[in-house]
Amino acid sequence: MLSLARRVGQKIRIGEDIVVVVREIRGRQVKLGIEAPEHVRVLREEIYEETAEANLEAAERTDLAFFERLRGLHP
Amino acid sequence: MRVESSRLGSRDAEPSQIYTAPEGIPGFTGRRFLIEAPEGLSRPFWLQSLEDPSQSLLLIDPVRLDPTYAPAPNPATTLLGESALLVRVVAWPAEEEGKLYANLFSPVWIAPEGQRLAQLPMVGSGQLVKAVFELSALG
Repeated sequence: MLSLARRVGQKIRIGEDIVVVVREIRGRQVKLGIEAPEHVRVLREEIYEETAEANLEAAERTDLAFFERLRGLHP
Repeated sequence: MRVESSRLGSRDAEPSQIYTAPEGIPGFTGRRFLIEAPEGLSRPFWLQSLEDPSQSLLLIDPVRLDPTYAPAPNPATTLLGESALLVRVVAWPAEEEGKLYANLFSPVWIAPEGQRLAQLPMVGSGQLVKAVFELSALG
């Protein structure tokens, strides 16, 4: 993993069109500003992980019997 | 093409059943998926990973659970390059008998024409990853 030291106001460019700027550092928290094209999704990692965990739980728990049960209920 | 699935078994799939997820599906491997929907996309159907036979999800129409559910399509239309999108959600059995979970926070957007799909979390929507419903709500 690449590690870069930056000060408040300094930027990191990722590829052609993504720019990350350090806006503020307060105690143990860093506030970042991110400029990215509309099609690039920017998410806190825990948001992505929450969905990933739910998908894996769903894949583990869903079976044909449940599918047939839903089909039967669905008009 | 031949598709292997732990739940659906080994089966031949038509090219029209193969969808691409440009950003993948969180937690799953690969970007290509089989949509197995013999009764159409308005009924419950399967999304099966082509990379991992054990990775499949059951998708349903969320409006059957919550008639007011109407996520903003903007990020999905930009990503998938199509405006006529279907929105579906992952459903799975809850621990409590007679109930199911539905991920209303991260709907799956489907572009039937381009055969592309995306699961996009709705940050700030207040929707739940594991919203609980009675199974009878589908009726």
